[in-house]
Amino acid sequence: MAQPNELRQAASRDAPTQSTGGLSTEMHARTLRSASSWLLTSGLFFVISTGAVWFALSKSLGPAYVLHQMGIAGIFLVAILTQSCFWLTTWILARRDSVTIQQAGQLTYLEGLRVLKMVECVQIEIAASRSYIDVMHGQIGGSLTESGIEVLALIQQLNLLNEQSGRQMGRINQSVKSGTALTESTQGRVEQNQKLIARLEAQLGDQARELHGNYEQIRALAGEVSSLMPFIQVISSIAKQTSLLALNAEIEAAAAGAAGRGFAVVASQVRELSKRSTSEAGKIGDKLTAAATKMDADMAAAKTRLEQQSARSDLRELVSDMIEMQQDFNQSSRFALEVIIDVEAGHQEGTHRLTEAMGHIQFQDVMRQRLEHVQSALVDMRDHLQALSGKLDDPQWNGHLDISFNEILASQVGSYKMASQNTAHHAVMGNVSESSHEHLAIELF
Amino acid sequence: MAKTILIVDDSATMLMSLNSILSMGGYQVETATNGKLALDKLQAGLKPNLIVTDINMPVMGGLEMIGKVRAMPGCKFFPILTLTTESDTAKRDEGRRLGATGWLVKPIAGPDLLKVIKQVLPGA
Repeated sequence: MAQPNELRQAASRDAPTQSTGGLSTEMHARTLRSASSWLLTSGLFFVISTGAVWFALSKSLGPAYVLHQMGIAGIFLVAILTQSCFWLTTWILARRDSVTIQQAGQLTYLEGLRVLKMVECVQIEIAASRSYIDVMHGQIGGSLTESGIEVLALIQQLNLLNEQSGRQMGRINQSVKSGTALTESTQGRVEQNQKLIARLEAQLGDQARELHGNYEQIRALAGEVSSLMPFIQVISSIAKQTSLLALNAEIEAAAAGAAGRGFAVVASQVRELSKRSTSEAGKIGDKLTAAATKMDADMAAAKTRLEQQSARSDLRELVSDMIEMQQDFNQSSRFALEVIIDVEAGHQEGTHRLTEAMGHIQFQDVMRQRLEHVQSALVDMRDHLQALSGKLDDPQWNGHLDISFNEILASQVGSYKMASQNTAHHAVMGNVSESSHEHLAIELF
Repeated sequence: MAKTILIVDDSATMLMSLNSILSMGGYQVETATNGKLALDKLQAGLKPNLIVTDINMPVMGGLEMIGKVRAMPGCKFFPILTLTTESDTAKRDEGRRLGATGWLVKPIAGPDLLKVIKQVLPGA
């Protein structure tokens, strides 16, 4: 008995031949086998039984009667021959559809029923494939929608990142500009202050030297004045001794009487002179004392001014510190500029990377188009299967289809837009890709 | 003043990614989602320095749009680049015949796109 697998193999062997004239399916082959085996069996039985009846009548009733009845028998015979031609034609057709006599003859009634059930099952499955394909179509569509949304969100995030980086760069640039302006301004002021300080220092130097000279003069003068004081005392002492001598002379002159009268006048004059010398010496001493006191005051004032002059050197130290701070500030500004240059280079590098990333994101669009093409192909497959399912119910269907799966698949090549689609197709089909899609990615005309 | 580039593509992701790339490159960007809307913008007075267009779009495709743009007064010579997944020779030849300046195949890296634009936009 022919097994279903053998029948399938028989049908598949003839598949290329049948694909040119119509549908070549296992179900169709089985249907033909079933029909032809029944027709052949019943036809042979009818011919044999009719021949046997005619032979029996001619023996029992005689040839004359049989010949008399030949008209009726001829009609039967013509009918039998006609039926036999039909059977023979059917058998030949069944033979052409790859059903061997042995296989057809070995198909039993139960197997025929099983084949019909298989056909029904296949029909149900094909009908159910609509939902299956629609769901897969929807899954692809949903994935595309979701990936599109996510990619858009990703682009927005990247844009936000770039905008934030740009704003930060702007703020840093503004800060650096402000810092640079402040540095330049401060440097100008410091330079002005330095010149001012230089002039002030020159003035202070002159003043200090003048003060120092005055101080030294006053101190020398004070020394000279102080050195006069012993002379005043000597003068005063001499005057006092002179006065005593004059007193003695007057006494001696008085003792001398008239002879000493002239001498007494001289002694009196000398004593008067001595008194006046003493008085003048006292006055000079007072003046010298006053002068010394004043010089002491002047000395103290000069000392104070010299000390103030010394205090002004602290101011110079302060200015020196300011200059040093300014230099530090300039150095910091230069460092800040170097940092901003690095940051700017980093920002530009980041922007470059982002533009590259945006290019990679275009793969989503490429993938979307490829998957949309797959969706379209799924719809073609669904429609083809549904048409096939409908034809299985059609008693007038002769097994021919307007288009086969192979033809649908071949037609996909013409709808490819990308070289990668062609490559994938031909890789599976084992063909060599044509060169209509082989071109540069960038071509300027 | 920044040069203006009109991007024509029906894909939202393409529009946004190209917008980002070109904005980062310092260009002013205008967008349209098909050839008809792009033509409307041009007829409304938009004067881009460059058009970057997809080919396969609903309503009006890129090739048809290029032909109509080239027929508009004052639009004979400014550059139009196609950016498409389409790699078929016949389409490429038709684009060249209709007046496209160059044919770019998606995906294209951002720096490469900016380089091509600098080539076709002198002084950009």
